[in-house]
Amino acid sequence: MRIAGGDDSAFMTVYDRYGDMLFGTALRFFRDRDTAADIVQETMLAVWRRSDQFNPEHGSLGAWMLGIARNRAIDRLRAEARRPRIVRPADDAGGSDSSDPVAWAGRALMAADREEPASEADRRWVRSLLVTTLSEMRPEERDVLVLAYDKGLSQSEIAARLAVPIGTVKSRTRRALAGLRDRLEGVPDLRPGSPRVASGAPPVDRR
Amino acid sequence: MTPLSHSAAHEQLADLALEPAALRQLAGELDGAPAPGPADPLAAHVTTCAACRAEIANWQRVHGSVAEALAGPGGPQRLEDLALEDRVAAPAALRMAVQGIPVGGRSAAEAAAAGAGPDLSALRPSPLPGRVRLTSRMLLPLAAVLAVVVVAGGLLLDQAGRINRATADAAALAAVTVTLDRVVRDPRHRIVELRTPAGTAGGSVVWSSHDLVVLTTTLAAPPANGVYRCWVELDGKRSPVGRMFFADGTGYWIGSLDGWATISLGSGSTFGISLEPASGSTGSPAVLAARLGG
Repeated sequence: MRIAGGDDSAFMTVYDRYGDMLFGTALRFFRDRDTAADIVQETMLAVWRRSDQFNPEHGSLGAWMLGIARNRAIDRLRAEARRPRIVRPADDAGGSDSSDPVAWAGRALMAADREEPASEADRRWVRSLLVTTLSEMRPEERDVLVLAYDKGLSQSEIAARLAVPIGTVKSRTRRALAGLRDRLEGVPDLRPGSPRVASGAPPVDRR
Repeated sequence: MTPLSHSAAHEQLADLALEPAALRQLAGELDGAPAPGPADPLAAHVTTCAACRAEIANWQRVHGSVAEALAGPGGPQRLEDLALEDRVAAPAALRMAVQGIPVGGRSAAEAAAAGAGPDLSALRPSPLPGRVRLTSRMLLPLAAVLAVVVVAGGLLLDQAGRINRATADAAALAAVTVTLDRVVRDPRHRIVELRTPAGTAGGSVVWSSHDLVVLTTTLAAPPANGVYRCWVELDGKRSPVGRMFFADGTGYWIGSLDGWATISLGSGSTFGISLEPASGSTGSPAVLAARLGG
């Protein structure tokens, strides 16, 4: 990786390629621009510091960065949830108009944590990532995914519904799904009973 | 029916992956049903092909993660509901802040500036029209104007360089502060004092289960051909873990102990910093060191 070799321009090239995606995902996760910006900065700093640890055989660069950002985001959410604070009655009701969105998200997570610690934060992260990925797709690619997932339509049914050749539907779906798969590499498997590790990451070592 | 070749099966699987419901059905058949017979050549191939089973598992993971993400605590959502938002662009100020992160000993902004270089062509005098005789009386005001322009330009460039450095230093120290804050909020965090070989206090190492921060104001920035390397030593064996950076008189290093770290900060180990050649470590003696517990 060129960053590990001390190539400074590669660092900003990486930011230009992934900055919007990281910021969009963190913003949707926290609902707060300042916190989202902090997460992106921390992620970029980690990318620079740990660039020699990136192994393309374990997954894509984007997935690696998303994995770092996810860890930072979830850590911060949990830390905010644990921090004692004075809560105004209106905020305590959990209204979305809270003046401190991170605290609001933290409390929501804490409530969910009582039932199942890891999954709600991860589900929230994946949903944020999904919204960001969809927002970056071409509309025609997004449309075929929606029909496949929401309506359960086959490729030929989608072709008939949109009145486009089946080959076109297949290539649009393939492109959309490839993007989705690449992004989801960096997040843990959310399915019940699955080990909570990202498919693109090496085994977690928290010593 | 003729058994499917791997490439034909792979092609069929690639098509099947485009339809979450169909993939789920195939996976369900493979999981629960008795061994498929010749009537289902794809299923028959997949049961004996590890590569195809891995491919199915990968796609199931994608489709499963989407389904789980949609099944939030507020009730299931449709993908269409998530597809309504516009693309979000990171603010320009964030790019500037990232440019301030010191990479390779200088900020990314400085690195870019070093590559491009300021354009000084505007300060060069234009060619004079021919046959114009310049008298000293004409030249003196021109020289004075040029001198003012050159001095002012030099001051501006110097000022811009200082602002760049100050921005880089501020961004670096802000990142240190953010990490330090996260570490000390962890109730299990630990702090040890760094000491010089003479035993004087020279800084600190603080770490939690996720991060490690090293701070010192004792060291001056290293010479151009040197670097302060950080290492952890256990049983006489040194493992390099990072290098010190400097901002506004403070030496620092932020390390991560989560997902990607492989170094253990166990009892009996020593954290150390030594001045090494930029080309690589030579095992120089520690200029600062701390015992990590035990």
